[in-house]
Amino acid sequence: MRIIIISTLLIALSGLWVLRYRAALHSSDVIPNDSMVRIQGYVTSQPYLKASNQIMRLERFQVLSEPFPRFSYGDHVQLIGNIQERLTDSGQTELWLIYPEIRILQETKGAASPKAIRIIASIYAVRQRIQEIFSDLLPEPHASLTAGVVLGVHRSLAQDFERALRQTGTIHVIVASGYNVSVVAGLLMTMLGQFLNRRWVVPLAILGIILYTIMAGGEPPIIRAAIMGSLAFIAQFLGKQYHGLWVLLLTSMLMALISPLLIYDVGFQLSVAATFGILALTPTLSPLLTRGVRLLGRNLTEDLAVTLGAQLSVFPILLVHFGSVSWISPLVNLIVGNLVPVIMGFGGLLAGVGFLWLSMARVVALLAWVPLEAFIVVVNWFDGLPFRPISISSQSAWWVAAYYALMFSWIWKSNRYPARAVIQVKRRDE
Amino acid sequence: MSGATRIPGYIFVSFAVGIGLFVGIVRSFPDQYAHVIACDVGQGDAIVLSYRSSQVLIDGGPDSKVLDCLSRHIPFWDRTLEVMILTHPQADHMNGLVDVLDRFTVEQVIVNGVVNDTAGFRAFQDAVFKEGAVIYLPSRGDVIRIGEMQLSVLWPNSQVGLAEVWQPETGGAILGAATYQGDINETSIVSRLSYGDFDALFVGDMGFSTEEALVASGVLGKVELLKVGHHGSKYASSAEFLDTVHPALGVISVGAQNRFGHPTQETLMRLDQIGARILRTDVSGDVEVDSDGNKYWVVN
Repeated sequence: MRIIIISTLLIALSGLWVLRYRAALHSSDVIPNDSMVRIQGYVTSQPYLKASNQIMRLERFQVLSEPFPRFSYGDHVQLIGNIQERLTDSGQTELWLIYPEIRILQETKGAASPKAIRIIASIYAVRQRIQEIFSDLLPEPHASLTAGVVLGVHRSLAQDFERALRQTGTIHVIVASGYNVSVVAGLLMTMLGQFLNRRWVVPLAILGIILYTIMAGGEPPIIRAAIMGSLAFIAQFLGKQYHGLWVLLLTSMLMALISPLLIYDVGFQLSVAATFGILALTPTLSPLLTRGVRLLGRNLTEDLAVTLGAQLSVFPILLVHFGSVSWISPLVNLIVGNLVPVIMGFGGLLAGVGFLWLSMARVVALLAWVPLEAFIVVVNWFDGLPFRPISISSQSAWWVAAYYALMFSWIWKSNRYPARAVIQVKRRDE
Repeated sequence: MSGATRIPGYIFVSFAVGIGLFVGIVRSFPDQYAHVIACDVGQGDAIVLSYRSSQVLIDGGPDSKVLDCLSRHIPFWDRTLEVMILTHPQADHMNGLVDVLDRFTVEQVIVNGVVNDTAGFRAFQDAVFKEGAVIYLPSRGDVIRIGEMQLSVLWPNSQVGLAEVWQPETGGAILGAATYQGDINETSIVSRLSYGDFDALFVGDMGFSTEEALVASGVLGKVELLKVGHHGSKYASSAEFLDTVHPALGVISVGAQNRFGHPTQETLMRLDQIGARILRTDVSGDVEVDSDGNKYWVVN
């Protein structure tokens, strides 16, 4: 009976998705290429610098401009320029304005701008301040790495180091996702729990997750993690069982329904696949590993299972999108994995102390430098090794399908009802 | 992804961080040499002079790449630049300085009073005012001492531009009026570093006419290192000028495949004729030359 209800629901959702997908495809090509436009609107992404250019979004338009003056989220501007269509890696059309004439309409972003934009602008101002604290007190790429680990901000990372992170399969540490959410929520629960009734703590923690999600830039991986994390807290509060895999399926379908083109987003694909790997593949791998890798000890073996679960699930996606995947990735992740919580701890402390007492924050920065430097040295060292990455020249979808079919059937066989695996919200401070 | 990582024991972390910090500080402790580093900042100039824990930054390149260079060559615990020099206000020398001012404590800024009325200049001006650094307009005869290093200003002859540009009350308002009409490259601040017997000459983007004036004035002498003028443009580094300063090392700060065709064959030939060894940032990345005041050597 339950199977029938669930299948009907899934089929209905898929149908709805197809409808919305077609609508989204048709709405995106109304402005012809190279036509001259004048656009008024609000800057709807935090502008970032790439080489000597500033890149930002104005509603549905991507804008590339001179590095100065620097714009910020929520600025009300007028652009005059020529529309250029560009294809993204995933084959969607983006509308770009290259070096348009830009005029700020109101110097005082105040009264007229919509409330939502004002709220987000003030959250971004806090984020900006935190990034400034990091970059005032730490060298590069340490400062950008901290901003990446703590806030998921990865635009300011030096190109060389970003390439090294990609090559070693560690780029995920600078994407805000499930781990960040669990830390933020855990911290809030512990702190608020001291003063407040449990009934208030859960909604406040969820509000905290939402604020953090906006601050982290609201990219697909963090939104997925925020929804799943919030549901986990609600389930825990109501005393219900929380079935990680079902929640993952429902969350990703819901997100795809709201924004159908999301399924082409690499970040979304990687995030869903990695979460699936950790929820389904890792528990299946663990028993095999404990038998084989006795010498590593229990903790390292668990880490290895998580790393392998995630890496094996994202492997085809990485190969299709980036053309190559590193062999050494699981090893590097195993080594630097334990540094990430330490970096996050020091980064959070640095941000907090920096707001209150800047000279004290200098001392914290010296301490924070140590795990950051260790992380950077390890990543750069492995990046320098002459290992050839696994790469493919042809992009055939068939082997991807075959790979996942094999993986699914193996998980299914080893564990008849993987969906029943109850995932407990892990407390980091235990 | 870090689903199963745990925070390792606090005691272990504190211990490891303590040892790591100790090792880090010992390893980064400055030596007693003078360091001249031409940063690899693409098409532009950014030169770090460093002696013990003091640093001078001459120009900042076109963007934030200069920060990576500073991180490579300044100890991680040092967030102060003693002196910042902007040779002349063009984007490929100036824009990166805005990021440096944002992130470092800069004690003194040495700059001419000439204005290049661009958004980048305004951002630089704002950043300097916000920093609250001492601002100084240099002229020939000025000497800046950084520990045992001595930096002598050879050009401009006398202060150029308007001093009001660098007064916070008036600076923002007179940009249009103070915009420089001549060739801004020829206002470049030219300085000579001396550390014992080691001399290095930094010339910004100056061209033939300033070179001629400097040769005629007789202030030039032989140097060991020349930061080749204007990224190796053919309108700089005349044979006569090169003959006068006769550098053993010619450092060219230039971006790979830049659209100006720098460095030009003409300039490379002229440097070759006086037997200078050419070091290029587009080929070698950061170029570092160290000296103990007696000998000097190229660091790889």
